[in-house]
Amino acid sequence: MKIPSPAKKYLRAVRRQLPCGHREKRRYIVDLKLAVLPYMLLHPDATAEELCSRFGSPQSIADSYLSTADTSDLAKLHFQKRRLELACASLFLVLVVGSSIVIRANDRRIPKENAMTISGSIPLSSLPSASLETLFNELQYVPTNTQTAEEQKWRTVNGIGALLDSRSEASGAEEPKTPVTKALLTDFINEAVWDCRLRLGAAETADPSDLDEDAVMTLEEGKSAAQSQLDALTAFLAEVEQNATEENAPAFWVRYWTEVLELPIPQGYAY
Amino acid sequence: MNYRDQFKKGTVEMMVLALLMEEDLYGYQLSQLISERSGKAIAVPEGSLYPTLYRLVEQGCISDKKVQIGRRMTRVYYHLELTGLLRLREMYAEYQTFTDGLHSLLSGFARSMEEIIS
Repeated sequence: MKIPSPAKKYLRAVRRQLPCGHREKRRYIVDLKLAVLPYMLLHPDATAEELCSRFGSPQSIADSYLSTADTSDLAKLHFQKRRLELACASLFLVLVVGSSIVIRANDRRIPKENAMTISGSIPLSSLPSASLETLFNELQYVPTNTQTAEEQKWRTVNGIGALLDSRSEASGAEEPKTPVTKALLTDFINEAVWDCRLRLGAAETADPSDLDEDAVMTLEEGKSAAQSQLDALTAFLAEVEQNATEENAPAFWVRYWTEVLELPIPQGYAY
Repeated sequence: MNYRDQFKKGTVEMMVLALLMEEDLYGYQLSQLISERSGKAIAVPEGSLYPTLYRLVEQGCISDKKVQIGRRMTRVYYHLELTGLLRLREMYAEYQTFTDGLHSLLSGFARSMEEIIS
């Protein structure tokens, strides 16, 4: 389905204002989009201002989040932001010394072709796990200008993830904050499938003028990437439904994040 | 300054639970009913309801259910759970105590203001 420009602008503005973590932000935007798009079908000439009036301005939505958030959640978010500042400072230091990044293959799962090198720089492996975790979470949402940069970014993200996994294995696995169950995993996959279908729908009917300013792909590339991701997710979902149990759900969880979602997320229809 | 928005904070949850006591509703219906039942005095746009709804679902006060509407659209209906009903009762009792206290505090002020203005 073609996402009208006012809806895109509105959803982007809301996303920028939301004072919560990325996972919660993503859930919120998906739910809001499910309400906005049918409204746009009935009111195709609606402007972004009308959407604000109907669904709430980005600021009022942010205020409502703050008014319902626990102080511990807000403190956690503040702490995460401070860790991000530290992580960005560390990353800047790494990037200043050279033009790429060394990931020491502590983990045999990292294929050699994914290692990016620069000699003499501070390796990511020397950063504390807290900084790496923040980098892992935040780097995924850093916009890039070219397909090459986008791919480089995802190789880095995957490498950081693998490094964190190997440290976790070496030190003893931490208790997950939320138990990974088959139902939780299935929900995540279904959400990603829904997301891909929305992107695929947009790609099928979009005009070149619909592409965002930060689009890194042509329409055809975007459609192809969304289809590849959808195929991978669909196959994995079938495997999970058939073979996953409560005992082996965590293993499927790791595979989901390291193998199924390793394809670059198409960046062309940001919302 | 919009004082009404300040007063609204902390009561949206109670409004949502009270409306869901009657029937299962989706986001837009909740937003519309809040406006209608308050005589348009209180406006909570649908988008501003979601954080409250998420919090209530996490706490087990309400549950949500996706219903397919048409080929592509889904709608999420919310249902009041027993935990939510108990919380509503507690919140409403606290709210009554609070507003009674506030009213008696301000009643003296209202008389004084009338005297000053006149």
